[in-house]
Amino acid sequence: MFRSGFDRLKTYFRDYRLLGSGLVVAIVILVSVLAPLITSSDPNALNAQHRLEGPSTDFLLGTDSFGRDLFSRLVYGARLSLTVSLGSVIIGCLIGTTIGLVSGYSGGMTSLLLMRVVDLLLAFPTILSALFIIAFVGTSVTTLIITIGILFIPEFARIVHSSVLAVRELDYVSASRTIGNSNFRIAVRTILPNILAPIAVQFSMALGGAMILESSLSFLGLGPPPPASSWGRMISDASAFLRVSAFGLIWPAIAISLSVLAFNILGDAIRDRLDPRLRQ
Amino acid sequence: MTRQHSINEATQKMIDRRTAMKIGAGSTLAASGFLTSQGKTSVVRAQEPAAGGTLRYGAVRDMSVFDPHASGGISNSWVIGNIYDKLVTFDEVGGFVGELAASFEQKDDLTYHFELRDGVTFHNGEPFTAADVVATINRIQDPATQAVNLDTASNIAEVDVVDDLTFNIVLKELDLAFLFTLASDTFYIISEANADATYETPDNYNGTGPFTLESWEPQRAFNLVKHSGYWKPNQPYLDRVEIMPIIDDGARVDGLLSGELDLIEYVPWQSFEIVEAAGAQLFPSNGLQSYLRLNPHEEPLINKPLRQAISYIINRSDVNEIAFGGKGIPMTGSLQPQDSQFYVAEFDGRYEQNLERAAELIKEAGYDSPADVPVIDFQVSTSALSQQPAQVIQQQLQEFGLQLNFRTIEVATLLENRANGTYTLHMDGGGMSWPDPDYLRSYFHTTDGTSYAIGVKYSNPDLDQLLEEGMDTTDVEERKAIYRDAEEIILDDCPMIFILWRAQAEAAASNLRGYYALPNGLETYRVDHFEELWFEG
Repeated sequence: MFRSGFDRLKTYFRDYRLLGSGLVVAIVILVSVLAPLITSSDPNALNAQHRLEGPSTDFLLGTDSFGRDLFSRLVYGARLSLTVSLGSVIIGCLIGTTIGLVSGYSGGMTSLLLMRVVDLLLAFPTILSALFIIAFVGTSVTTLIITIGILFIPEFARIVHSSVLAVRELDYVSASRTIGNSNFRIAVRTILPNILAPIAVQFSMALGGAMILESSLSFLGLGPPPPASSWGRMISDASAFLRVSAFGLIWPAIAISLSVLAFNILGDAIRDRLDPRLRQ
Repeated sequence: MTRQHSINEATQKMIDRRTAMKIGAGSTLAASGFLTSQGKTSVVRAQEPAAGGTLRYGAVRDMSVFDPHASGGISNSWVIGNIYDKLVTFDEVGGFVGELAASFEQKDDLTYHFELRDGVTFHNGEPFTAADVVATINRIQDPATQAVNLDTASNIAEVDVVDDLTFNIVLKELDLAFLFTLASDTFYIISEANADATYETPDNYNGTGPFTLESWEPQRAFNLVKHSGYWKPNQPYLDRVEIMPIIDDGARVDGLLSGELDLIEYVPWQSFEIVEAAGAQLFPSNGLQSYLRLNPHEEPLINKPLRQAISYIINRSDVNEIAFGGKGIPMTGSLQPQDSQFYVAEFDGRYEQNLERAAELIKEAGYDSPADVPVIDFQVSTSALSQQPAQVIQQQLQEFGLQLNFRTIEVATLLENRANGTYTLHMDGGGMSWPDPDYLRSYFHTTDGTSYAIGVKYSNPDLDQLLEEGMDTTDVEERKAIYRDAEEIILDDCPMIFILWRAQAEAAASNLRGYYALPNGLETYRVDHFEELWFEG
């Protein structure tokens, strides 16, 4: 038993995509959690004497136009980006999965209605809907999480709905029904565990998407209010000074690209792992 | 001709104008010291202007309002101002010169006499006469036009036409700023035949200006071509002008440096050195302010000692250093530009950062510590011009222990909140409505304070009285005393907290000749003198 588990672990490690993307995701998570231990300097401290400097021993990655430490802002920016994307994807996943499960399992008119509403939501470009909602409720971390979360509901609902349809008529579901389990129990205890794979894949992909959305909104000045450090905001702050110093833009751009790429590759790799048809 | 010579000549010109304007507005303004020459921008003509060429101009935004008398913002004047002319305009030292008026003279407090230029024609060939001026004033006075100058024009009692080229304007009440109104970028002279034209689009334009509108494309370009019958001899030198809206500041600067543009509006301070290093010409000014608006009817700013404490906590030099690269001028005291004779030197340093004094005032305001002060809602627009200083101020206030709720909001919402007074603390900026201490009236007077007081219902009867006295007084020494007292009240009451005179500039390609920026204090006026521009080599 131990032996086979170890072998399995070894195959995971042989999958370089999984290993590489998993490593990047792990680093982002670690940096976010341990932010105060990683950097001792205040990410919001202004310094009129050290504006727009390049990397040095005092400022590892240089400073921005306010003289703030870019390394420290990048580290705390990771925390914020991850909080927002994780929070919003959890919201989107919970509500979306519930809708998908109800609609897929119950079928009929309920399904028709729910899915039309979901289609309606899917029809709007996400960034436009986000701008619309935020224009009404204002900017803060909480509203950002809720807004982005709402925008991820339709995708989860669609995927869960289709997955439920695929397993609904399978023998183990019929068996569960035959022994007299309640609908709730069948949906949650029988169907849900069997469609976790596509949900997990979507979860990882959505994290990347949420991160981009958060950065875009912050870039447009609609993210968490200053002085909160966010990668998108760092880019927009730096863009005005691009000709003077490009560091303020390069670091968060690398951070966003790498993290989003990692979340997407991780999603792909998990899907390939979990899908027996794609397994060699 | 040496540079020194040319500056002396400019000064000489100004003195001539001083003696020419003996009474009323003329003497007050010309002697006010606002209208000083910026040596850097004075025009030295080393060679004969060369004719021909196309000027490509990068404006900060597209035109959305096309009416020559309605407000469309400063960017409009680059298009409309080169198609139309005004009665009077500014020269490069900020003095008044006749444009369509060959000469003008203030005869008494209420009467202005004008002689018009002979031989001026509109673009469609009609001759220009006094009847066109009457039609223009009638159109501006019609509330349906929604003209910017409706209020000031309503003060015109009558236009007394002597003959085709001579008329007098008689005012109802003394208006020290009347010539500024005539020179503003929304007092363009239209033709009488065109008086009923509408301006949903710019297709009905018919002016006397140096260029005519050939074609336009929203969001892309306004193409102007030379008006061959223009009244100034040999001008315009340029064959064509293309005015393009380029909203991104960086893209505009890049366009100039790469040679795709010849002249650009608004260069942000962080690009000053880059523009100069590339050999382009920079025309900087310090005439616009950054300030905080405080709502004296909203908790907790209802508390005057707290408002004063905020002013003491702010380190204006650091704001200047961090948000404006040290290129602005901190306003620790007087609210007038330093080169104005109304500048009150005794107020210098009054609001230098003083954290001890701030701590005392917080106690005086009834709070044990800064942390006990309720959270202050802080509204800031998405524009970098507000965001940058606002973030520095936020950091300074928070380091002191005050709590702020920093909210970034869209410009449209912000303007609405400003007009309705629905804000607590608000980062903003702006220019003087005209280069005179009377500009304070447009902020703080109970009924004239369109830029602040009306919105938040601010009212201080003592201040109102002083601002009204200042408006009606022509003696400079008396006015100095009046505005000193007015500033004392404003600095003590802190309805608004003035941070600094910020720096901004326009820039031109190295081979463009004839451009100049107006002196400080005239930022909200524009000289749209593209007819004088030409390319060297």
